[in-house]
Amino acid sequence: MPENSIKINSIGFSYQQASDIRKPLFCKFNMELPASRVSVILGPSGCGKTTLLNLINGLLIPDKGEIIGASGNTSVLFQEPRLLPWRTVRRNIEIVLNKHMGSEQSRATAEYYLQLVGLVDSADFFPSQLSGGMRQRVAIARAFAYPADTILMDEPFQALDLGLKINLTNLFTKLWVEDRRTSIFVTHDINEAILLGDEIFVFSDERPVQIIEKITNPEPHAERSLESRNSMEIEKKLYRLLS
Amino acid sequence: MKGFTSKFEKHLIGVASTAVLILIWKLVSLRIGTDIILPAPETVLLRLEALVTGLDFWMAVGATVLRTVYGLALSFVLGFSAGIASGVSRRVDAMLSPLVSVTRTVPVMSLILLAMIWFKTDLVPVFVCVLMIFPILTANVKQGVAGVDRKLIEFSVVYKLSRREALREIIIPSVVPFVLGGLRSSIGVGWKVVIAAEVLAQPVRAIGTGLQFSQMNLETAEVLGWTVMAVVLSWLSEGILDVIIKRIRPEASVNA
Repeated sequence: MPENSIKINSIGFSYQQASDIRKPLFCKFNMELPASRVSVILGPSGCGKTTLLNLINGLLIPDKGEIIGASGNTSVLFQEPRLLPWRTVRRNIEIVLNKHMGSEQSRATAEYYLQLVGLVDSADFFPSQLSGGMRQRVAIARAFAYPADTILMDEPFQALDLGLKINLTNLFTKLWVEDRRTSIFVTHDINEAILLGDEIFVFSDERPVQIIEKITNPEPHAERSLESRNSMEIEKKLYRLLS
Repeated sequence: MKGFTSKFEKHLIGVASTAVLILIWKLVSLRIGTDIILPAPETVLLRLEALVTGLDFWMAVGATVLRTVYGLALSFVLGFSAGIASGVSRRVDAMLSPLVSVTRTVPVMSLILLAMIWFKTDLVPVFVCVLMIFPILTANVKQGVAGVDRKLIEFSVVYKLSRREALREIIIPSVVPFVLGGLRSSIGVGWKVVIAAEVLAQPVRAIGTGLQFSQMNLETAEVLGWTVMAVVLSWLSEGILDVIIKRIRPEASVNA
């Protein structure tokens, strides 16, 4: 395994609420997310996918066990773009860079990633002046521009219509192929899992969460399509597992 | 087109209702027949005209404007900082809340009388204005901090923005509309409080002093003349603030 894979070692976690008498979400949970690949976590809503991401990015702390390799340095692509409404597109990207590089380099980096997502002409617009898809593209640019080893994605395309979803999936692939950062993509959409995942981890519906299957997709990202025989086979398998 | 018509209509109705009010004033003053009790509108206007030609009048108006501006500016700074501090930290909130609730309930007149014991007459109106307005702004800002989008805070944590950056990039921009709204709704109170304090404290130059002096001489037309001036000032300041608020609208502040 490459050295900066993310190892989740026997973690336990439950939300500490008196009303929550259910079993803990995670109990002695182990997982290894390989470096420089896209790992997809596929599972039904409420199974603990988002919680796992928040444990990896440090928003939540596990009750037991440890997570090695994320080093608290992660980019996150949220379900919503989460841009600052009072800052321009350009500033929204520069803000996360300022701490890591000089202002001139921040500007150049922001410009570079805006170019990649095709929004350089909208750099001085405010988020409210963009469409939903454009805003999520800014968020993608921001996630890649931020100098993190790991990119976490929490159903980032869920709220978009099918055309935009495909568009943004392709955009992500294009950026990722150039710059293969360790990526974790959480979704409940089988097609997204097939198009993006190198490894697909299927989570169970019960508590505590179990990994019920791990599927490796050998097909190179650039050649993937939902119609290929490989994709169809994975799809069939996933349907069986999830139903 | 429809918007224009209704706006025009609104203005027309406003002008008409003002005219009706002035007409009623005129009729009542005719019925009473004594200028000491209620002078006719045109008498007030003539008196005001005589007032505005004097330098003393403008010095008084200028002094009152300065006091109000000082009072509001100081309240703004204090209210903004106290509001943010108590919105961010429960401890500060617990510390400030007795002060805020006391100043909110103390009668204005007690404040004025106490301030007259403690301060020079020129400062009394400023002090009272600050004590009246700053708790309102503090409450507004605190509410603004509470309303900051949690998702943006989460974003700032994940992307490791420093506390200062989070304050500058997320909390302050979210709160600015609240503090301006609070200022907008308290600016009228500010004028009233300043002038009330002036009436009692009697600084050398002040609209309040002018009011008091005219009242003692039973110059009712002059009392009303000063009053008209105070109302005009209040309207003007509200108008100016409206323009500023429009300018500061988040989407308009590119590199603020």
